[in-house]
Amino acid sequence: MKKTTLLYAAVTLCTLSSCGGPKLVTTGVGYQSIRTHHAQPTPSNPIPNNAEIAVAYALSKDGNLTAVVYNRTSEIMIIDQTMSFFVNSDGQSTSYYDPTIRTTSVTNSSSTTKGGSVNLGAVAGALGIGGTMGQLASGINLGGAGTTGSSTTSSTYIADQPRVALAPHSNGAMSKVYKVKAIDPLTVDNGPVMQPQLSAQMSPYRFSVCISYSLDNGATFKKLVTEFYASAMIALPVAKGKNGYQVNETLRQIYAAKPDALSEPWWMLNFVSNVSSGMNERIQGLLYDYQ
Amino acid sequence: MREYKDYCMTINKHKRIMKRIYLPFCIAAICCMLCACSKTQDLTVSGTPGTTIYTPSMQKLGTIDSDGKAQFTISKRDYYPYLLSQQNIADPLVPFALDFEEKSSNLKYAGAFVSLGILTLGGVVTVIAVGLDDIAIAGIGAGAMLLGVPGTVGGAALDDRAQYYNHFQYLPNQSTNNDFRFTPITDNGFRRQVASESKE
Repeated sequence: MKKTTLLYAAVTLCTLSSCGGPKLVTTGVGYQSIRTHHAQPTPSNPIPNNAEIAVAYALSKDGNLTAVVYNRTSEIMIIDQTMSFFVNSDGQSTSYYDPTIRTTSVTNSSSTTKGGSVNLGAVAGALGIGGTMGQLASGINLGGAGTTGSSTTSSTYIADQPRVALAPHSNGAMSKVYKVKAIDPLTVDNGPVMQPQLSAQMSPYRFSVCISYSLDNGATFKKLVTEFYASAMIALPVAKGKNGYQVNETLRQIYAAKPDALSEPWWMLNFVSNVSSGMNERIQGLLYDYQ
Repeated sequence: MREYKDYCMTINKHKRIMKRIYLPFCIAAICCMLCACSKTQDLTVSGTPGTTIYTPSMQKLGTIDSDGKAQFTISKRDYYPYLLSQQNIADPLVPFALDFEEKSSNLKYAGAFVSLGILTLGGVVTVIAVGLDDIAIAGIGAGAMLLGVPGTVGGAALDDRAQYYNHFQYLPNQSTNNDFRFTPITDNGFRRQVASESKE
């Protein structure tokens, strides 16, 4: 009887004690970077002062692409959404204009005395790229709104618009955020990946954005086509030694294979773990284009 | 003779009461020990002197001293796959991963459940004893309740702490990656021609 009681107690204790969540396991570390076909501006080689338009592209860890357009002129800039496209990594082209959209969005963004920041269209969330737009520039002078002072712009839309206007020296996020299908945190599920230097031709995927704009009240339109490609893809497994998971050793292998990893214009480092904390990825950089 | 018998009975009764107090006390003490989990962990990070260490959300953790080591404390609530280091303000932030090892929290969870059991049982005993006007037993029940509280409270906090919830702990010694010779990229992209530039 006593033995049975002890057995019950042991089983109950074991059942009760196997609580908490899953044991933390980090299986790999991934790194990928993206470049554009054109050379990126740098603080030493900035966007020329006479550029009419500048666009900053933000990419999230899931490949959500947000484009922020800067009107660098003293004219009203009209963006034609029906003639602006996103071409996904599978080649599928999607217009920025979607007449089926019926929604209301309120945007909050900071701007300065000159111009303003608005969401160029209908879909909320386009501004969800973290931080004030002026801060996006990070040393790259995009023109338009600056970084000092702030004001709140609330815009309400009930339908998508084929054409949207940007005030002189202002900026605005394109109305929609598109997901680049090929971009996701890299895993080692299908084995290690080691492609530290990829050219545009070798890149496993490419995608592009075409923005049509007019500075003469819609009489003529120019287009700015930005083409992107993956310039590096590395995914290495994490070794589990006697001292535990050697995650940093794996990261060092990535740095050794790609010494310019931290200088890429956009890169993402991801730690493949069974615990999602919202911090498993580090993304740095924005991609710019101008004309 | 009768007085001696009464005396023996009183002694036995006291012994039984002492046993009742002693047993839950011992169990609760063990449970408290199991659940007495620290809220923080000390880390030592080695690297180049003067390098500043940040969390991924850019909270400063410490600076590496002249002896090449920085010591700081992180909360066990937080799960950091990596930290950032920066040698000079103009230098890039260099991620370095935190190595960790598995560390089971099963005993702590078991201790918390036993503490909860003692707390509940103590409560039930107290209520019944008060109903029966047995002050001694009620006292034991109340004592058991009190003893079960710390372990239960500690156990309730376990799920809130990533290191316990996910059964791991960071290795006490970590190192930055600032010793790498990072290089700038060679941007082979074509240079954009601005309309008025190209006309010139």
